[in-house]
Amino acid sequence: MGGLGAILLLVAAPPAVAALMRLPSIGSRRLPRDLLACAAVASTVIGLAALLGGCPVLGRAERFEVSLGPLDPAAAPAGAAWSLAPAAIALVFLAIALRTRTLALVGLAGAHLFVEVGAASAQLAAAPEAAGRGGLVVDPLAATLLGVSVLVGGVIIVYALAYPPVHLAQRGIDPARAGSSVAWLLVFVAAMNLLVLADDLRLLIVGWELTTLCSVMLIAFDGDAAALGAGRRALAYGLAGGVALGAAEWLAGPNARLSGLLVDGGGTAPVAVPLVLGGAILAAAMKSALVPFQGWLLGAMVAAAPVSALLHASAMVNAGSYLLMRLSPAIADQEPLGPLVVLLGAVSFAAAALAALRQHDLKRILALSTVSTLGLTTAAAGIGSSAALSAGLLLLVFHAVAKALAFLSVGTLEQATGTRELEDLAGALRTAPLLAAPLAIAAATLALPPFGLTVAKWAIIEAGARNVAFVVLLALGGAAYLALWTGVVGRLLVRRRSGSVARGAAEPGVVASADEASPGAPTPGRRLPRRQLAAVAVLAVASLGGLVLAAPLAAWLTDPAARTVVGSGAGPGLAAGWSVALGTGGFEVPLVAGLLLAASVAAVLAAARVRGEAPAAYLSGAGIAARPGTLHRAPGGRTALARSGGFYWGGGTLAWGSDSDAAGVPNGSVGRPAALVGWVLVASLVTAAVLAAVLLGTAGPGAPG
Amino acid sequence: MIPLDPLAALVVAGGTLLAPVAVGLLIGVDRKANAAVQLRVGPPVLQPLYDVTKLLAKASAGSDRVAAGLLAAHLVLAAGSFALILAGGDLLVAVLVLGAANLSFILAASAVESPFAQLGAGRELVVLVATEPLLILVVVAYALAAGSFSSAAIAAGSPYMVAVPTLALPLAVLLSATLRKSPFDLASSHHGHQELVKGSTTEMAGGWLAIAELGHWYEAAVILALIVLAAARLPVVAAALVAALYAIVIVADNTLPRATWRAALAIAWAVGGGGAAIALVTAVLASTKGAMG
Repeated sequence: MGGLGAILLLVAAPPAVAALMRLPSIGSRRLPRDLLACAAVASTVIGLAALLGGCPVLGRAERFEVSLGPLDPAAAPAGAAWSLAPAAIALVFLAIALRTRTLALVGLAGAHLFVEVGAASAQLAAAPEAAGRGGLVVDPLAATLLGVSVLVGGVIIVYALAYPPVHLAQRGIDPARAGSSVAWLLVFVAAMNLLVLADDLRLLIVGWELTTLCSVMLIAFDGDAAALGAGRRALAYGLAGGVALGAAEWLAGPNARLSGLLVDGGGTAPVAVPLVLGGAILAAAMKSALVPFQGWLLGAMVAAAPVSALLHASAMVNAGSYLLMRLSPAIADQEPLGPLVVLLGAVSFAAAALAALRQHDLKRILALSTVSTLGLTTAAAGIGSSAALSAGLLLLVFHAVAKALAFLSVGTLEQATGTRELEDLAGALRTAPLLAAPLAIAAATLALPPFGLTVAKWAIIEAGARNVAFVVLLALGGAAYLALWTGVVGRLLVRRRSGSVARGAAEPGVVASADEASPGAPTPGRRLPRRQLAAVAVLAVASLGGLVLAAPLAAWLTDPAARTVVGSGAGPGLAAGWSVALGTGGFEVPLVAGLLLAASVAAVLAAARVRGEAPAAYLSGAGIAARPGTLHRAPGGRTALARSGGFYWGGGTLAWGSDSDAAGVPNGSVGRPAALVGWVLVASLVTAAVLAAVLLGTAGPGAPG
Repeated sequence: MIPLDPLAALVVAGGTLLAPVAVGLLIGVDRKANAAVQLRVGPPVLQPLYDVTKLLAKASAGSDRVAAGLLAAHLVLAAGSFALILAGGDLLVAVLVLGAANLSFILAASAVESPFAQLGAGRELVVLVATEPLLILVVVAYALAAGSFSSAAIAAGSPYMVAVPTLALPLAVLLSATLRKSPFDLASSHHGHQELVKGSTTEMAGGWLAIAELGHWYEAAVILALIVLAAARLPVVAAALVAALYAIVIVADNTLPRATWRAALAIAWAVGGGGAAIALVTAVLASTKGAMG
């Protein structure tokens, strides 16, 4: 099979353009920089189209091996180069670690280098593989991930072209560095493309380590203390994951392939197979920032919005989920590993969603909801049935689009208002509807049925229904997830009294308050670049398309992908016409979509019946809002963080529903002892459920019936 | 799958239209029963229906446009969730649609910056976090016992109360929360004697308040339908089940004080979640045994 040209467009063109951008004469000038970046994005899109033209995998459970020609690892000189490449990247990491002068990091980087050199020497000592097998594979799973990386990543890069100068100006950084940040984004997308196409482990690891490198460089890009700290943390997690994956490669033996691991261990000693898979799971958990490895992703929020979007939506974190899905049948075969991955995913889903409820920084909320969603895709990979895998992949695709939209709209809001604190943005949907609406759309597609995400969650619950611990965690997490987005949109929606302090914060182009202003902050009335708004609009339309697209996407992409991974014997897929169906139930997508549309029409009609000015809010004569600052503000007009408004778990004095609430009226109270007893019961319940699941051995796949 | 023949569609439409009347009557009886417990005469049984028609007929004072729209969406979605169950659709989908209805109502409550409404909206979120997991667990327990998520198949496979008796606990918690009775009345109480405890509905008046009330009645109808599904083939048993759970809820309302948000979560998850988890394990065991035997 050919396709070498397409692969080069996908994998080689973006780094080449990135290298050009590093030239000062191009990187510092806006027009050539933008044109080059757009050309690189276009080349990846053309590469994707050409690849899919040459390897027709859409709607078909077929698998094509693609050779890199003279560059393929099967060819002798190239094979040696690919074997040595991870060690070379490990050297770069060691250099970075030495520059940070952090002992732990240097140690980790040393261990990483040791593992990569060991793996490389094992590869070099072995006889090269018989020529003729390509090192890359195109199948529906790879094509889906590739589509996400190229299309969503492309939109993010177009947005980023207009974003960095403002971001840099706000932070007092030389605007000439803007080209460098876009260059790293391009390399990032190319590395992700290589990663999802790789079948040979060497290629996979090169892609894997390059995404780590790009993420570290982008997170630390701003160069201030916070960015450098977050970069160090991301490097630590990336290195730990790299050590795990490198050790897995070493154990798997020379010339190992992902497809080989699935068949019979691929020549790997049977004893080593669980260890290889364990290494891959650990690396994937670090990459996907699953609980308890979520630290780096939360820290990464210091980076610019496009970087966050790329990390969360189209690249980086998806790599972990992708690897687990690819290895899903092997993991499900290894008895303790399958249930463990299910539990790891379910715990991540519930814990991150519950933790997100107490956040008030929009980007942290988004980050935790990413961790939560990736937990669910991980659990789907652990369940391993065809339907669960298809649902997990569906979740990944819809999440990528919705989360990219959410991050870019938060970025736009932050640029326009200088803040991403939810409390400062309260009422933004009223005062700046165009800026805040995309975020509300993203929230709706994340939380409401029958958007693709909810359909996928539904399918995962039904597919894993027999695992009691899994269902309990999913029910808790699902409720928290719904409450989270309701709470966020509720704050954005509130009609504030005119004259309240936060009014300025929510208007486009107006800086919230003097202490939040920084050099180069946007001036009042500044218009946002059209390209940014266009990128947000494209993603918003794509997100809204998720209202009806669950079944078609399942039919064309995720069902065939699941079939190529687990074989056609592992149960039916999801798609059934325009609906999604499992053996025991069906999600009537058109019907529910019709209901949602009817509700929207009813809402519009009802709103149209309301005439005139709404009366002022009922304040019981307390005059609460007459002070400078409402209930949601501390004295002096400053934002009172977690203790201010909204529903935050960490609340103290002013949290809704605390023992003595805002108006000073004591509630009737069942009291702390009752709550304590309740929590003890909850803990024992979860333990009992886990034990029951383990004892019953019901953690395997299968729907009820 | 959902039946599409005209007669079934007519039954579903009729049932959905009549559901609020039935719930209104049930609440009327509930008030009478409560009054009897408290040695009062109490209002007529039809009083809740009178109240809603009176509110609907009122010339609406100014209201917030967004909140009004969201209340209408709440009504449509809650009714749709009930209709999905009646039509034999997937129970989990119906519960997800009910979640969307809850979301609309909470957004309507938080649309206006009245401290009371904001307080109510925040507490509605707590009640959502407390009860939504129970809904999902109840549905999964039914599905495991019946071997299907479709409400038609679940109804056909009933009764389940012998197989999974602890399901009564989450159902009672859900009924108490949906009727806004103590201890789950922290967001908005059915007793209207304090301005604070009307929380989420503080800023709603006239026809819009009636629409909010009708939406809540549909939510209650969904919970009642879930209770009835436990014994759908035996109407007398189903009615007795509803009466028994209602009695428990009335006793709890008259004896327990309003919970704080932490206590509400702990009680709902421990009592309701505990019952649901035991039911789930029982159902898995039973179906495993069934598959072996």
